[in-house]
Amino acid sequence: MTTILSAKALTYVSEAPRRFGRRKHEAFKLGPFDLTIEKAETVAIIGGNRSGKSVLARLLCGAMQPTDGEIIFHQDAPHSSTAAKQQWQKQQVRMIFQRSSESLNPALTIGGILHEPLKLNTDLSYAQREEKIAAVLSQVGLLREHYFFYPHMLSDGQQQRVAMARALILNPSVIVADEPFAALDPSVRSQTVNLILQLQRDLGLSFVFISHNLGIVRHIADRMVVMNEGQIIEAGRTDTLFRWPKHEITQRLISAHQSLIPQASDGKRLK
Amino acid sequence: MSRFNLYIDEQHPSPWQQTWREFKRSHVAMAGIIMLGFFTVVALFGPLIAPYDPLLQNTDTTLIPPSWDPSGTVRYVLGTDALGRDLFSRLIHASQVTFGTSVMLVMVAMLVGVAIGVMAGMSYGVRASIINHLLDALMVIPTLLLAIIIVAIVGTGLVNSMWAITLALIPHFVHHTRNTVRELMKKEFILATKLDGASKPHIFIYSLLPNMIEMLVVQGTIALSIAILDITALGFLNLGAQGSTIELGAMLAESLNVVYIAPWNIALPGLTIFLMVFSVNVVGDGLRAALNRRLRH
Repeated sequence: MTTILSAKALTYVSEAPRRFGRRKHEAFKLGPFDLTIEKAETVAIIGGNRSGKSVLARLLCGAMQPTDGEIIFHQDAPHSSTAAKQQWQKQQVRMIFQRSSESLNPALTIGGILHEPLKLNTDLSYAQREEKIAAVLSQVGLLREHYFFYPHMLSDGQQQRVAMARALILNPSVIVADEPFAALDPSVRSQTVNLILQLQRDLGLSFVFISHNLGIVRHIADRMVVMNEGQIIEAGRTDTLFRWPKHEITQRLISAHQSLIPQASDGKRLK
Repeated sequence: MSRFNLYIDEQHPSPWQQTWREFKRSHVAMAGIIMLGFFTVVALFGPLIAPYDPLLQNTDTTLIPPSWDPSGTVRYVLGTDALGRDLFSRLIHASQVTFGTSVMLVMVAMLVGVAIGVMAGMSYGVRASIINHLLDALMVIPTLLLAIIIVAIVGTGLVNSMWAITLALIPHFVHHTRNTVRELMKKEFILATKLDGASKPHIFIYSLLPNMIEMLVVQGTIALSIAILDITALGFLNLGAQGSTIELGAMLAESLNVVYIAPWNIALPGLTIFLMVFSVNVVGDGLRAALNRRLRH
């Protein structure tokens, strides 16, 4: 296994908005902690609300700048200048947002939405871009015809696939997803999960995702990171963590999940 | 072009086609847009339709009533005024001036207002809040009052009153543009575009503008009705169009002294102003409803 993305002493402190000289609420502090992501592995980030999961995801894909520490992308950039390197890293680490309905521009067709990253990041001609878009659409299980659709004409699951196509179109090596399954119903959710697993097999992607659904986490994640109040409290292989959770909060999360599962099938394994 | 469509291609209506489809379902709005189209044709080709020179005075034919009156004549369809000028020709020229200048000044106000509004919306900090709160304070004053103050400073005249109304309308566009841009900038698709490495002009053209057009159309029609009323009001108060420029408000003011003997001289320009404002408002309302309904589907 080779490390593809690593964070060293990653810290992020949000500026608390000041109103009339007094702070409205406390500043949020994330880190400092280290994190590595291996090539072609799936990492799940779990934790309660305001535990810093989304901030971590945004830091990883470059949507927010860390206050301290750095995120290193372990692959040689084809460019030398710092700005070009940063942009290349953003191409290689792509993000899928929580609400796909809001992450797709409602005024552009799916084709227009998919043209955008290619236009900004590659030198492909219009015909080449069209070809690439058709390929990526079929890759995520959509039809060529969806090129002409507007986002609001698609169902939630299809919108999620478009968001995935948008992330995949630049041939990234890491995909960071912020609760990609939250808005989907169970059947579409399992379809999406299978799609991700298949894409990962085909393309050798690393996949970092945030989820509250521990069933999915257990199903697809190789490793798991548990966060609480801006700190990583526990990290390790998924099956290890599920069987022998060490930290109290992890124990609580896991037992809450286990209590939903009929005891006959899973109860024995817990012991 | 072949007459037959051999292959039944699925049609993919653009947002505009969908809006138009929704718009057509409202008959009142359709009536409004037909009226608006009529005024546009008059504004473009008015002088070609007018039967007489609107300034031609004829002392033999003063105050002839409209043709449907027993003492009217068909040569002057809508009658004549106190100086014997054909009212129909005058109305056509007047609506050309009123409607044309209103459309023009709304366009200028929209361009300037959107430019400032986008700058205010996309930037943060002191500069943005200065633009915003300073211009929001101006919105408290009614546009007509503001226009009268500006005309009082720069002097009367049609062009001056146009500038005055343009300046008075700009804060409205700035305000609405800024609010829309602020709201859009929080959306995740803007962040996604930023992560693609988009520059500010790119974000404006591909992400903000297509999502802003609906708001601009609605605000544009509201501003147009305000502009028509203000232009005619300034003309009526003798602050706007002067001398030989025929304008609906000025026509009303001129005919005031013959209102009891020749009421059609007041009624017809008044009716024209009413229809103009009414059609603009009805179209604006229909558009707003159509856009709302389109987003719900």
